[in-house]
This record gives sequence, C-alpha cells and structure tokens, in this order.
Amino acid sequence: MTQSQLDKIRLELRRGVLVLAVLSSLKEAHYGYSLRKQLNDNGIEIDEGTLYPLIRRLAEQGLLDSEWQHTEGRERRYYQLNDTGSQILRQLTLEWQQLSLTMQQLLQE
Amino acid sequence: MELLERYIEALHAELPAAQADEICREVKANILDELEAIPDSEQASQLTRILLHYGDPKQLALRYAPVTPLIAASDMALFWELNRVMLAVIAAIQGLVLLFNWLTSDHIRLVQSVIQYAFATATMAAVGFACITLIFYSTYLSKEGVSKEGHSNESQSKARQTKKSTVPEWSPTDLPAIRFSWQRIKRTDLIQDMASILALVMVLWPSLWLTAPEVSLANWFIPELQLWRIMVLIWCALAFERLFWWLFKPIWNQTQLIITILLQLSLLVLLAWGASYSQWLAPDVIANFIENPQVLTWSYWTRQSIVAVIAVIILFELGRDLLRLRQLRACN
Repeated sequence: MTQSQLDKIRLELRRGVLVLAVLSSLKEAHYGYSLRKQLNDNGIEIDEGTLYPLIRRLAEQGLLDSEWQHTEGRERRYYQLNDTGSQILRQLTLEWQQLSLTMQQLLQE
Repeated sequence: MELLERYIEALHAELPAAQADEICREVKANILDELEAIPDSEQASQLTRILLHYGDPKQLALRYAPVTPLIAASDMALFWELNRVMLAVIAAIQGLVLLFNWLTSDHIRLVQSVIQYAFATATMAAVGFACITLIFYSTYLSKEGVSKEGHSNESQSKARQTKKSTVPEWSPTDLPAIRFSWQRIKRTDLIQDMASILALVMVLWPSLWLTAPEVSLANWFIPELQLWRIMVLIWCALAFERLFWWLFKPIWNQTQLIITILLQLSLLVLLAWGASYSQWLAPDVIANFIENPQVLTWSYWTRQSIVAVIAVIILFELGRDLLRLRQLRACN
C-alpha cells in the first residue's frame, strides 16, 4: 500500500469523528482559527477549507450559537455549543464510547 | 493584502448572494487570524501558502454552500426512465403525424419530412423534459425541506427527524417475493406498451392532434362505431393506468395477472365487436382530407386479416398469462 492510499484511509477514518471533536471543543467559545489551533494541538489536523464550512453548517443546524465580537481591533465570529448541541454531544459521546469499546475488542482478537 | 482582497472577491462571486457577505466576512477574519500568528516579515510570503490551503474559491464556495441538486439521487433512475418513456411516446406520436401527412399530401418530400419530424420531436421532448424535471425538483424540495439558498427548514427538518425515528421509510419486508424470473417486468416492455396504447388513442381520438377546422370533420369512423370507439378509449385509459403504476412497482403478482387477463379478454370482446361491422371508415369524411379516399378505405378482408393477427397475438399473451397465474398459484 502506498503512502497516499494510507493517507486517504486515515483521512476517512478521522472525518467520521470530526463532528464529535468540533462539538466537544466548542463547549467553550472559540473563533475559527482558535478552534483549529486547539484541534491541531490535540493531534487532530484539519484543513481550513473543511473545518470552517463544517462549523457554519453545525451552526445552521442549530447546534451552535454564534456572535461577532470586536477584540484587539479585529472582528471575530465566536461559536459555542448551545443546549441542543450539548444534548447531541452527549448522545454522540455515548455512541463513540460504545463504538470505541467494540473496536478495542475487535482489534484485540 | 491585495492578494487576500482578490481571493475574497473571487469567493464572493461564487457564493449565493444571500450568504456571500457573511461568509466572506468570516473567511477574511479567519485568514487574518492565521496571518497574525506569523511574524510580520513573513506574512506576505506566507499568505500565498495560506490561500493555497483554503483552496480554489470555487471549491471553497461549494463547501460553504453546496449546490442543491435538481433531482434527488434516489429518484434518478425513475427520472431517466420517465424521460425515456416520454421520448418514446413523443416519437411515436410524431411518427403518426408524419404518416398522416404523407397519406394526405400529393407529394412526399422525404428530407423535409424527416427534418420536420426531428424538430417537432426535439421541441416536444424539451418541453416534456423540462416538465418532468420541474415535477421531480418540486418533489425533492418538499421531501428535503430545503430552500433555494440551501438552508434547512428547521421545523420541517425536526418533523422529518421525528418521522424517521418512529416510521422507517423502508423495510425489507416491502421487498417483493420473486419466484420466477418472468415476474420482473422490463421497463422497456412498459415503454413499448405505453407507446402502442397512445398510438391507438391518437387514431381513435383525432381531436388530440388535429387542428380545429379538421376536428369538425374528423369523425372518420362510421357513426355506428361511436360507442365502440368510446369503449376502446376507456379500455386504453385502464390499460395505460395499469402500465403507469407498473413503472413504480414492475412486478407480476397474482392480482396483476388477473387484471391483465381481464383486460385481454375485454380487448378480445372489443375486437370481435369491431370486426362485426362491415365498414369502419366513412368514405365521404375521408374524402374531405384525402383526394383519394381509397387510400384509407381498406377492403373488408384486409381489415379482418389485421383484426385476426391482433387477436392471435392477444390470445398468445392470454394463454401465457394463464399459465403464469397457474404457476404462481401452485407456489402458494
């Protein structure tokens, strides 16, 4: 298997958990770049063209609240999980834990 | 920074007007944040790299505002099938018009006729295609609850989620039980049958395709055949309706076979009834259309031979369907 094939599979694997990672990070308010930085610092590399449209889509789906703030002479749009988003995150977390447990068992066999 | 402005400008041009300002404002803020994290001296050179990461403005715009498809992927097969049916029917109708024009004109201009046929078919097909596309698009919009801007309607979306959680849209038990390969009806057969029925309707109901002055003279069947014509038209409507529903569930089952057998028997009765008349076409009416009415005034034996051939075909299908019904009943 070539490196590019491996990268592609790895990307698909990570894409599935991206929503969970974003929702989880947005328990605290973040603007686009700060969220990307936080995800990167935690080992989740994601390009700008994927992350920013995803946040906006989640906000349109009613899972995030957003507001423009002016700080340090700059304007930034901050996003944060709302009540609906928190409920969804709880359900997704349970789902993820069950899946993770199952996968661990499968991989140990 | 001029490069950034150019990028934002290009992105703005690719986005839907209602969302463009807001998205561009946000993208610009994010890019400026990224630049801010880089030392001032490197910002100019790093901007290109950052923009390359964001990607082509067209691609980025698509990620922010995905294009709403005209046809749902799940409906695509049916969409093309209906278009094929529509095209076949239009081609058959135009073929009949062409044939009629040839019969009623003194000189046959082959090239001119073929060009007229091609243009008329293409024009009607374009209108039909547009109508079918619009119907599917409106169905898609009502199903998905999406507006032109690509936003989800929240209340519809919630209702859909509730519906999904309580009533599954599909169940394996809905799948038909197929015991014999002949039970699956080919859509190409349906198209042929539909085109045949429409052609018959065209002959029996000339006001569908003749001009107003011609219609007043178009009763080319003898008056005694009026009731017979109406009965055949009713038969055509019933048969067409059955074929139409088969487009959605093209499977032979016992009920469908019984309905088909009844339709075949009724057609045989209608044929026998029609054959009992000594004459079908009214020569004086035909003469209004054609200089030589003998063209359409077939001899008694020619007409009876055609009726006999059609009857043999129907009898063959009747026998085949009776055997199939027996096979299905034996399985149950």
